[in-house]
Amino acid sequence: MKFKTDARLNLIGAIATFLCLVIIFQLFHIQNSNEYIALSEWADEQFTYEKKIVYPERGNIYDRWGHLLAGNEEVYEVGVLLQYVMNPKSIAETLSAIPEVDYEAALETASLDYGEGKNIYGIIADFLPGGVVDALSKIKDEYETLNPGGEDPDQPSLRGMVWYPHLKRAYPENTLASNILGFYKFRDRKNGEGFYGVEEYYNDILSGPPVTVEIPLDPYMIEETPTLPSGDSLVLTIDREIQAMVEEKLDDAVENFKAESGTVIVMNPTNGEILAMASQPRINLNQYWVYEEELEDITPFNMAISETYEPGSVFKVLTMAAAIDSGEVDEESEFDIGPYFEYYGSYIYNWNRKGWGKQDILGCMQNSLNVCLSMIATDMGAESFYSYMQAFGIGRRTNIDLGGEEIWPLSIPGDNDWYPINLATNAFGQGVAVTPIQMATAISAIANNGKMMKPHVVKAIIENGEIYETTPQVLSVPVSEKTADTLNLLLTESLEGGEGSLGLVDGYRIAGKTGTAEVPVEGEYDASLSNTSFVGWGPVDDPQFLVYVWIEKPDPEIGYWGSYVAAPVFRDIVEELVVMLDIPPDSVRQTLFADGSGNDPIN
Amino acid sequence: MAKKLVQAYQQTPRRKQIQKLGLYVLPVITIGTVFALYLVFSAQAAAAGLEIRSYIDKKEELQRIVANENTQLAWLVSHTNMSKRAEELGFEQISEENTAYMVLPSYPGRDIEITSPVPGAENNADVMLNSAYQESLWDFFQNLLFSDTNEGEQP
Repeated sequence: MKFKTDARLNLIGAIATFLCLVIIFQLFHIQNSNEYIALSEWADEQFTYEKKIVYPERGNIYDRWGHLLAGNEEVYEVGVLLQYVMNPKSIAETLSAIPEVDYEAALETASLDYGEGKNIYGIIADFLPGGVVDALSKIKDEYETLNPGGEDPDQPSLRGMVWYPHLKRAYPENTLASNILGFYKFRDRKNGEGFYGVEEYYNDILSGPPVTVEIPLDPYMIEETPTLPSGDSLVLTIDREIQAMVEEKLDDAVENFKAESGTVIVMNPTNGEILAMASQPRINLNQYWVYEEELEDITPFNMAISETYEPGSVFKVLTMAAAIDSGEVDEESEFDIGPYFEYYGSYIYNWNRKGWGKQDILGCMQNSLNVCLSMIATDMGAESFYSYMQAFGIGRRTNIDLGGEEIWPLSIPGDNDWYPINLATNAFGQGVAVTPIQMATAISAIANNGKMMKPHVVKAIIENGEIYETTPQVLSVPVSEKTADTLNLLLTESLEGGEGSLGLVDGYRIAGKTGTAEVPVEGEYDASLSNTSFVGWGPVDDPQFLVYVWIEKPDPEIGYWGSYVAAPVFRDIVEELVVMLDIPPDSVRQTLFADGSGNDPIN
Repeated sequence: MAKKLVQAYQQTPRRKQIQKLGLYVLPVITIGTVFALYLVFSAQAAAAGLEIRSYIDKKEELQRIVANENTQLAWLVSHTNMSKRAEELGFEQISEENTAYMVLPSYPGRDIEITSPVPGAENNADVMLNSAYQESLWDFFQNLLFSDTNEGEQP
């Protein structure tokens, strides 16, 4: 009996063990079979990862105080999942109520044949605001109630119509600072990139291009989910309020003088920060696609950095700076200014074509005498003159951090297009072409103790929530501090008693210079057209702003001279600018900061 | 007497059968327990993975909403709108003549104020997953038995 029981148990045990071994063997066998491997690979390919195009969020752009100038807003793409479409006509009719949607195109998309490896999904409309999608959702629900499942072909049904949210670039200030910001071509979702301005220059920092990623569907592989960082954000040096004020003043000036266009730059000469930069025309960045229509012919997107012109007498600031710094002239130098100056067979005339007798350098600048500056430049010699001009960055890019900066090369001795007379004409800003940003940057050296700071519009970059401030850079030191001081005083006195007096601002000592240049038309100067400019900075003892104004081709019957057209624009801007920058009048500043120890910031 | 009792106990056929049966069942129970534990851990890991996936989706949705709200707010407080509102409320642009200045020694000056979240602020927050969800049972026992307690310590 005992033997039988043991035998039975042993038999059961042996069978159970055998069955277990068979199962284990079969498990190994299956897992190493070719069928399993092929199936596993297929399953991995099909179900382990989901391929997805990801559009990283583009970084924001703020003004210097944190006002959002460029951000992102949620919009929707509306399409059809063809597998579920029951009534294409119904979908097309409903969506054609949206202005951007064409009925025929929508019907064609919704009627596509569904098939594996062929059509699965079709896009009918994109960039629709949330409100439109809410309305569509409501209609879809109503139709679904009336026609459950869309099974009645005679009843409307929006089955198969779906929508997906995504972000698009938005510019809440519309046209404000559009010349600086540039735009992002958000309508091209696959190849969108920044054009012009900050959007172009910092395109790679603001956001990388859309990328195709593989997202693991296996929950155990969650850590393999790729992290796609959003783009970095930028804080500009631009002050929104100053920018708006400057744009308004510029628009008024262009309109009042019936000018062709104009531009204004407001910068801090001590660090190169651009506080405002306005140009005409400007576009609404939310409708960037019309810019080619808005900017006719060859009108640049941002005149301040992209359009070169002969600046006229504002260039005399550089010539005089070079002459003083090289020791060619000083405060005691005197010149006998006749009505013209002959050089290499060509004649240079003063603006009124009259002689001015004995003049010192103050008189030359105060009366903006071409003859005087030509004499000084020719006395200096071409080598010295042009080496200073190159040190001032003439003919070279400032490398401002905006897309689209242009230059006109500076002709120097040895170049095919340079002639000796160029030296005499370049001295007063003729025959030399510059952009407003080049001029503002060069002249800022005079306001900043001889140091020329690199102009820039980005104050800080925000990366992963951390703010990294940019460091001001010195471009060059074209003249000594002593020269800069001398010229500051010279241009202050020159403005106070000269033809630029309409640029004076009550309560503030300002240094400045006007400029009026004839406009070359088809190789010859057209005396009936002028480019009027004004550059000024202040307060002279502690310069905190430099304003450069260029009004292009004003109606000569309304205004022809820089002293009459551009100088008042400068004054109007500075009158409001000093309030916005919290710069008290000189007398108030003297009182506020006098501490009884003799430390007087004014003197 | 005691020896006889032990002998009787050992010789009881029923007990011998139960012992044998137990020997056969023990590995089955052990393997079953291991599988059960493995299944529980796997299920928890899967549930956690799915939960994280839903959080990632939710995070993306929230990022979109935040970006959208920021921009909508910016539309509302744009220069044009704020100027209009200020005008409607009777404010005027201050002129230099009407401005009074005073020195505030402790005032550091105006600084940038970005009150809303900036894109990328969340980039530092990587997926945080408990290591228990990432190790197999084998890893668990291996770590338990052979882990070097001094690992990472400075001499």
